[in-house]
Amino acid sequence: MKIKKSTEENIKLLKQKLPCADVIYHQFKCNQKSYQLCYVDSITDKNRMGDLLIRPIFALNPSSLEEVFYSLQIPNLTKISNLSDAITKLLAGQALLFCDGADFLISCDFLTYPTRAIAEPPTSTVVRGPREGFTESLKINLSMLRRRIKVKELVLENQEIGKYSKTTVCICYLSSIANSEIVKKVKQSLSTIEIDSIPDSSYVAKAINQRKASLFKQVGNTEKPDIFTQKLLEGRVGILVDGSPIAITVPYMLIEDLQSSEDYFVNNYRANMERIIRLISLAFAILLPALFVSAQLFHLQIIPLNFLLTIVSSIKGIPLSPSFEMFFTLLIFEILNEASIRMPKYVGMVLSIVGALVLGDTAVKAGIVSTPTIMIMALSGICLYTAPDMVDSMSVLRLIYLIVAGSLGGYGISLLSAFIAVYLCSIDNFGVPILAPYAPTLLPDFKDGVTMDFVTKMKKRPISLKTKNKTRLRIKGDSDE
Amino acid sequence: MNKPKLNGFQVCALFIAICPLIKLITAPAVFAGYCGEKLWQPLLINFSADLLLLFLCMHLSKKYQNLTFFEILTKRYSLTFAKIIFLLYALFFTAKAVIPLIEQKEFIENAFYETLPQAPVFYPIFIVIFFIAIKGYTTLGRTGQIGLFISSAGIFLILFLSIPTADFKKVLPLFAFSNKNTPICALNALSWFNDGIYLLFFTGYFKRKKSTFKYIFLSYAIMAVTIILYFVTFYSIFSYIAPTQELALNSMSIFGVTLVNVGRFDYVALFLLAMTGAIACALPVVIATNCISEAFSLKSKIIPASAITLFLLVITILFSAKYEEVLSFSTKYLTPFYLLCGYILPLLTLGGKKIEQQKS
Amino acid sequence: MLAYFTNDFQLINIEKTAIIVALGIDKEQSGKLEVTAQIALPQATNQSTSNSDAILHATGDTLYGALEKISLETGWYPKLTFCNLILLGSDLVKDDFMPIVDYILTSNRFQNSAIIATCEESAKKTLMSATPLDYISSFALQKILLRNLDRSSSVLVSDVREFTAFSRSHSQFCYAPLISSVKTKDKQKGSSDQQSGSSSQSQKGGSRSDILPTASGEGSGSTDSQSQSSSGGNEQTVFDASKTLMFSNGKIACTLNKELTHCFNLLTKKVRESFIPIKIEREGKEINALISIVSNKPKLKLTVKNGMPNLQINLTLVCEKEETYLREDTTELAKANKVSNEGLKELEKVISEHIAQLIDLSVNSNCDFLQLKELLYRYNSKHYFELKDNLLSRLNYEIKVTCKNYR
Repeated sequence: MKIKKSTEENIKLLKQKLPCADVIYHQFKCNQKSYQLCYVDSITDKNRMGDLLIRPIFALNPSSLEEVFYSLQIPNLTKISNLSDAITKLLAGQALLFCDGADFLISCDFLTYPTRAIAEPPTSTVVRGPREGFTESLKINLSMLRRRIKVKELVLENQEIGKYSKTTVCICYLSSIANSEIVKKVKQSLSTIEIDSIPDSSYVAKAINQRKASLFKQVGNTEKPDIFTQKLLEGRVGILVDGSPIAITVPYMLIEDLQSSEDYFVNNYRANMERIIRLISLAFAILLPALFVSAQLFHLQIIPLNFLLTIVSSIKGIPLSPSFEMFFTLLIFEILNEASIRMPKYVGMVLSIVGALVLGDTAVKAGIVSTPTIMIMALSGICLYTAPDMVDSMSVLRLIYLIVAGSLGGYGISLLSAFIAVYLCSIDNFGVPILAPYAPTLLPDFKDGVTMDFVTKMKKRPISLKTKNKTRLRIKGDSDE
Repeated sequence: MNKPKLNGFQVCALFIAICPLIKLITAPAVFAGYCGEKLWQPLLINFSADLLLLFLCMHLSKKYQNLTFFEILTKRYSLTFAKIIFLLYALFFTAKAVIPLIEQKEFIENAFYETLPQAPVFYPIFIVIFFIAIKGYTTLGRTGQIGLFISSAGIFLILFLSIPTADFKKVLPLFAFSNKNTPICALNALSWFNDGIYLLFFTGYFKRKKSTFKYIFLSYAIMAVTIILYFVTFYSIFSYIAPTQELALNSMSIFGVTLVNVGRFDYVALFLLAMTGAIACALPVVIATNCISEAFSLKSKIIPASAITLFLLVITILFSAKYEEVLSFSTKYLTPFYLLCGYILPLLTLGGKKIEQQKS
Repeated sequence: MLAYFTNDFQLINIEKTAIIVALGIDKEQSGKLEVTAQIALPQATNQSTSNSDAILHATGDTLYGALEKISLETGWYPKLTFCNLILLGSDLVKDDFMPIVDYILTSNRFQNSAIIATCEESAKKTLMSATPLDYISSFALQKILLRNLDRSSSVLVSDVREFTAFSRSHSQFCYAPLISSVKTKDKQKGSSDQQSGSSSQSQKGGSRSDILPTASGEGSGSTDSQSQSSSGGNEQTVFDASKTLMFSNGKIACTLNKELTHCFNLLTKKVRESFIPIKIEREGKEINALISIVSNKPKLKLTVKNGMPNLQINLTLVCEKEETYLREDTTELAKANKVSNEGLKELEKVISEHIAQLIDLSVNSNCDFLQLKELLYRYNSKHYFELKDNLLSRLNYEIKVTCKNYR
């Protein structure tokens, strides 16, 4: 519908289309011309609007809206001659200026909304290294990115996704590094999303996953701009979603979640030790309950005799079968975990008392569960959080292993491990195997795998990402490789 | 149909990590029964015969660049002929999978489950086998690379625990008292050996670089040396009672002093090897599935994989308690079939029409 | 899921498993086997006493038949994977007992690493002895038998594997340590506190009487509970395993005493610490000395010349310390880590004599425990068939023992 020359008619139509209480209509006259200013109260910076729009009009005393358009010193001024476009702009935080006698209106960007301050993200805390984290504002996130990459090769392409939310999704990559095929696939995947709204980047992640029902992650995620930047520099493509502090990166490799940004900031030996500890902890977290149950039920001969006698003595009189006992204890742990996240902080102390004393100590004394089971459950629970990004899939995997171990024993664990290994070997996301650099084995990429080499020796980007520019580090005096 | 991709390193990993696994369980006792302390001799015969196959594959790869075995047969003879040969090979690989499966079942049941539950603990392996079969060569290659770490750790641990208790002098004398059973043993062991045939079916799926075949030969040699060391260690531990130790993997490493102090942590090795053992049992099934897919030009591997897996499941259920009978049947009636498919039919690639030389 | 939660697929519960740590096998006069199973019983963690044991007996025509009877009577499933000691009673070894050992070898229930030992009295009596060394007698026995396996040369240990492998070798011999019980008035660990002593005794006795009183088979079987605890109350037993029983073709050939066992170990195994008492002359007096040997290097070489087998034994011993009871001056004391020349010479003489005794014993008993037929088979194969039947009777030997100081 075209803009009419009468502001009254335009406003009448607008009010019909947008019967919202927070849409403000402000009429004023200047130089005998009637102007109508329309804006959404909750997302407009009225001070700036006053300073940059209304006062200059009064100072200018223009004879027409055209004169206003060419005289105002506001960036992103646009002429709009269509009412539906005008409504879109209005709802996006722009202020609309109508004028009697003009068949167009001017839209100006005075968008503002309350945002959270930049803080350390709770999902990736470090002792050493940057502590900034992304926020829900795309603008702020992009500013943190721009601060870290200051070259023209940084490409930021916006897309609007979400029929009702019209969420801005920004694809970020370095044109001289990222593989064009991967960029193309990412854009294609995003363009196929048809959804009502995108409340969080995880929706985008789920939509671009190639295996929708997979237990394992297929996109990487991070809340820290330094990690995000490093991933872009390795050759990945990043996606920032307005309204979500979690950025996603593709392609994803499983090894990423065993690495921490702090590994690159601390002593190399310490970093290697920590990575190996994480891997061992993950193995403990998944396998320990299953191995314990299977040893108790099926493979007594594995346990040394003295330890076996201790176990037998501690489980005397326990009414539950070992598998049910372990399942029950893990379930309690998950319930405590869930409750501690959801419950108000004021009752946090109650939870720790109930959890530790009542459920732990008293249950053992009452003979409902045995001490080794509590120990294994606690150790497994703690070990799981050494790799927090993998908690989602690994906690489910732990239960699956437990069920298999309780039903089939140790051989069941072996078979399940073989199945999972084969499954992971068959997953490629965006053309990159998820188990790279171990399957397929890419020896140069071992420099930053489970163990890492010195940062100054990581001269090439990961081969698995098939980047355009393979060299990331050159030290003066080095011969070209 | 897009050709699956392998690389030379994955083929090497399959040789080092997966191929040895089926030889570790009952073969040592069988060999000891035939040849006593000279059990290394039929091993050498089998490995040498396989080397010839490897040379043939190297020659084919050099000459025909990216042509697979099926494509070579099609071009040299005809499509129908190639399909018949491949159906024959599908039978061959299916038969080759039977003994390792039954052995694996015996091993799992005896090593891990003294009080055997009624629930069929072993049969979920067929889910794994089916899954690998439908995924194809690319996944198999990558799994082999993962298996390299796992198998190596398992075999190393077993040898580490066994070698200190072995008295290698028991293998003497090396050449005196020649055993007439040596060639018979080598022939009857074809169900466990003849690994070079796998390379024939991988030819054309991996890019041949300058040193690819050098590494393949090296990896085969590593496998051969490891197996010979394993067999010799087994005999050095048990000597005259070696033929009674049907499950060598389970019984070799229990004499280490460490186990007396710490407990049976050789089970760590057994679990690792059980894991990769499932993949080793799946290897011939993957190739059999591929053979049927090629023969019938099928896009999806689900039907042939299901058929073969189901057949093997039925065979295992019917004959798992009759290992001796199965072994006897295999040695009496299937040896000529193994010889034909394993060593004679590959020579077909040298005959037939000439194929235009492909430029590299 | 149902199978998971209920474990209802005929699994044996851990609490219904009898963890057998030692097995004693005797032969009754009727010819049946009497099996004594020593079972480790874990105590609940809220009790202050340590683990205890239960001893059950049963008879049967076969080994596992007897064990099955125990299982039927007690409801416990016998788990033999922890059975590290198999004691063969004196009556059993007098007859052909090899089929029993062959069964243990081929059965998947038994571990091939279990130690085989024989005893001077019955296996039942040996296992039922109360010993101050451990609450469980078989653990005490294992302590003696497994004491730093290659460290000590005073015990000749044989497991099921070695026992059967040697018996089927060309030399057709095997050996097992001969355990003798020595009664002592020494107090049991913890029994100085009478209360805890008596409680542990009654606990021990109590745990035995908690088990069904008889594992009745045909003719015999009892748990000797009350009588044992009352008789074991004051008298304790320690074990001596320094003698070795040698078998040839499955039958007893000879017994090696402590010195010959030690010598046999020096010739066939690597020892890291052993002690030999000798008498040396110093200043006209004969004094007792104890030489410690830190390593040995045995070399047995069999050659055949003109159809005659010649055995050359070269044994090098590295000695460290000589313990005597002479008070010496400081200069001499400073050399105390060295063995004197007289000591070394005397040691060489003693060891040579022992080796000669060993060879003579081997020849006289026709028991090829030095595995000379194996040496013939491996290194002199062309003479094997010619000499295998009369190797020992035609043997010539040469012994050379060299003893030197460690530093």
